[in-house]
Amino acid sequence: MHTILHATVFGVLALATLGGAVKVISTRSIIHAAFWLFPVFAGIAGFYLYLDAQFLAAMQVLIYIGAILVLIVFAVTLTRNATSTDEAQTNGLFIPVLLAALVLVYALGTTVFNHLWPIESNVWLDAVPLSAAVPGVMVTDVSALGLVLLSQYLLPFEIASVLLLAAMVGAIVLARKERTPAATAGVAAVEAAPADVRELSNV
Amino acid sequence: MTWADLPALYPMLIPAATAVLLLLTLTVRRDARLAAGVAMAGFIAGLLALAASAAELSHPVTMLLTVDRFAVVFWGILLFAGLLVSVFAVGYFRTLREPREEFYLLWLLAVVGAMVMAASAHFAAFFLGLELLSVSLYVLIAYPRMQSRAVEAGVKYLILAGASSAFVLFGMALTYAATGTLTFAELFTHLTLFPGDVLLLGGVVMILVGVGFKLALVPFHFWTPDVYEGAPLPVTAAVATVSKGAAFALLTRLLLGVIQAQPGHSTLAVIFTLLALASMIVGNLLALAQGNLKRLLAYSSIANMGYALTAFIAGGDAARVAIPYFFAGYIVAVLAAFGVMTQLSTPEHELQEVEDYRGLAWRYPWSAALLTVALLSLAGIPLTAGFLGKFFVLTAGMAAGRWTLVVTLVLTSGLGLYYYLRVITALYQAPLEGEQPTPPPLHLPHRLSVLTGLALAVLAALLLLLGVYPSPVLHLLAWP
Amino acid sequence: MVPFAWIILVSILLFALGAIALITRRNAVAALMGVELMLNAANLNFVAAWRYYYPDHLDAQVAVLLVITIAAAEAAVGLAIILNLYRRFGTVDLDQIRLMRG
Repeated sequence: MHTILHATVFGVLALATLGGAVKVISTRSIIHAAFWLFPVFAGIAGFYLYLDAQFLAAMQVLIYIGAILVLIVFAVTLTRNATSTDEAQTNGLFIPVLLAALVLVYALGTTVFNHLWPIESNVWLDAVPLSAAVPGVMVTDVSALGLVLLSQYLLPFEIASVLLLAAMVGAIVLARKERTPAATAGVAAVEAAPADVRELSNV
Repeated sequence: MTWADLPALYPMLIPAATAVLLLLTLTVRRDARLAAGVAMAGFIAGLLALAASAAELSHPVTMLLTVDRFAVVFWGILLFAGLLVSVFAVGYFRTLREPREEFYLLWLLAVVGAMVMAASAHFAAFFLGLELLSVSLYVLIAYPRMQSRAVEAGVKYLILAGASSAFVLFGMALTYAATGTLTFAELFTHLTLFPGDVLLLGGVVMILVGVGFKLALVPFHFWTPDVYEGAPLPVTAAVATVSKGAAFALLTRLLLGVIQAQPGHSTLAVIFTLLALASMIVGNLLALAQGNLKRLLAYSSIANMGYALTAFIAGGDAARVAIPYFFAGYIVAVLAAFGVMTQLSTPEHELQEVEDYRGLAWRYPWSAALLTVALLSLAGIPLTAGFLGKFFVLTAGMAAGRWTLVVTLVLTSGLGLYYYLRVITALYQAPLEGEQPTPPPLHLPHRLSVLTGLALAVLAALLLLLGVYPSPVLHLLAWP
Repeated sequence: MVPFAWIILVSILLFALGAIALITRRNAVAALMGVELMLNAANLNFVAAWRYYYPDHLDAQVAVLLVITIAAAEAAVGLAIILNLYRRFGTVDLDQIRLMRG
C-alpha cells in the first residue's frame, strides 16, 4: 500500500517532468513549447517536496515558474515571427542528436548503476532518517539553510549578489531603447565593412 | 570567514567594490573617461593589494578559496590583463554612439569572476566564478548592439556557454552523488583512492566538457572563430586572455594533483593527451588557410591551449613553473597583438583581414614592430616570451617522458611559424600597386593617447624581458 | 521512498531531453529553454543525492539555491541579447543567422 502510494506520486511527477520536456522539443509552436515548460518546472518542484526540500520547492515555484517562465513567454511573444510558425521547428540534426542523447543516457545510466553506493540504489527504502544540522535545528528547517548560507557559504552568497548586479546592469544595457535612427542599417553596414585606417602619430 | 581572512582577498574585493563605486559615480556624472579611469584605478589598486595577499600565502579562506602562490600569480596576470583591456577599450569605443560607461563596470565584474575561478577550492566558488565571468562576457560581447556580428557572436556564446555550464553542473552533481562533498580536496582524495569509480569519472569528464569549452580545446572549439570575429576587439582580447587564464588555473587546481598521483596512463591522462593532441593539430591546421587575423588568432589560441595542456599532463614541479610562465607569455603576446589591432579599429570599422594590414610598417612602423614581436612570440621564436614559455613546457614534457606530446608540439609549432610569418610578411610588403592608403576617417582624433602608447610600450618591454631575463619571474613562481 | 536510481534516471533523461532541445530547435529562445531543462536536471540530481545518501549536510541545498539564482540571472541577460538579435536580424531562427563563415 505504502509502496503503491510512493510509486504513484513518482509516476505522476516523472510523467509531468519528462512528458513536458518531450513536448518542449516536439511542439511546432514555440509559444506552446514555452508553456510546456510549466509541467517540467512544477514536476521538479514536486520532486523537491517529495525529497523533503520544502524551501527549494518554494524557490523553484517562485523563481522558475514565477520569473523565468514568465520571462521566456515574454521573449517568445516579443520575438515571434508570424511567418515561421508552420515551418519545421527543428533542424536536420534531429536523428543524429537523438542517437547521441541515447548514448549519453546509456553511459550515464551505467555509471550510476555500477557505482558502489552506501545503500543499493535500486531498492525501496523506508524514509532515510533526517538529522539535526545544528543542535535543535533539523536539516529540513529553513533556518538551518539560512544559518549555513550566512556562515559557511557567506562568500558564495556575496558572489551571487555580485552576479545579480552584473546581470541587472547587463540586461538594462542591452535592452534599453535604441537612440540612433540607423537601427536598420546595421546589417548592410557590417557587410560593407570598409577598411578604414586611422592616422597614428608616431607611437 | 573572519576578519583575518580579508587581507588575502583584497585583490579580488577591491575590483568588486570598484564596480559598485563606479555604479555610484554613474548616478552623479555620466562620463566614459571617468568610468574608465575609475575601473583602471580599481585594477591598479587590486594589483597593489597583491602584496598584502602574497604576505599571507597558502591561506585557505574559508573552504571556498585558497590564496596560495599559484592564485596570487594568476590574480596578477588577470588583473594586468584587466587593466590593459580597459585601456584599449577607451580608444576603441570612443566612436560608439551609445553609453559606454557600463562596459567598464561589467568588465570589472568579469575579472572578479575570473579571479574567483583561479583561486577556487570548492565547487560553489568554481561555478559562481564561472557564471560571473560568463554572464558578464555575454553582455560585453554583444555590447556594440548596433553591430549585427557582435550580437550574433553574443548569442552563439550565450547558448554554447549556457550548455557548457549545464554540463559542468551535471558533472558536479554526479561527483557529489559519488562522494558527498563539494570541495576539491575531498574530490582529490576520492579520485586517488577509487580511480576506477565510473560515476566519479563520469562526473569529472562532464566537468571537463565545460572547462574544455572555456579553453576552446578540440572538439569543443567550434564556437571560437565566430565569437572571436564577431566580438568587439577589446572583448576578443578578454576572451582570449582572462577567460582562458582563469579556466586553465581552475583546471590546474582541480586535477593537476590527480594526474600526478595516478600512474602514467590513467583514464584521465589519456583523455587529456587526446585533447592536447587534437587541439595542437587541428588548431594549427585550421589557422593555415585563414585570411582573417581575428580568426587566425582564434585558431592559434586553440593550438596554444594544446601546448599548455602538454605541461599540465606532464605534471610535477616543472609544470607548476611552466604553466604560469607559458600563460604570462601567451597573455602578454595576445594582448599586444589585439592592442595594436584595437588602436587601428573602431566598433564600426574593425581592421580584421590580413590584407588590411598589408604595408602597415610603412605607415605605422612602431605598431607594425610591436605586432611583429607579438606574433613572433606566439610562434615561439627565441628572445621572446613565447619561446621561453614553450621551452619550459617542452622541458616539463620531456622530464615526464610524454614523447608523443613533445614531438607533436615541435612539429605543429613549425606549422604555426608558417602562418605567423605570412602575416608578418604582409606587414612589411609595399601596399599594392595603384592602391592608395586609405585616408583616416575624419571624425577620428589622429592621436594615440598617452595611456595607450604607454600600455603598448609596457607590453613590448614585457615580451622581450620575459624572453631574455626570466629569473625574477621564475623566483616568484618557485612553488611553496 | 522510491529507489534512488529511479529519480536519477528521471534526472538523466531530463538532461538528455534538454540537450536535444538545445541542439535541434532552431529558435534561439527554445535553445535557452533547453539550457534551463539541463540545469533543472542537475538540480534534481543534487537534491536526490542529498536526501538519500548525505542528509546530514546542507551543501547540496545551498548549491541548488545558488544555481536557481544563477539561472534567473542568465535568463534575464540571455533574453536581452536575444531581443537584440531580433532587432538586428528580424528573426531568432539560428539557422538563418549566419553572417560569419564557419
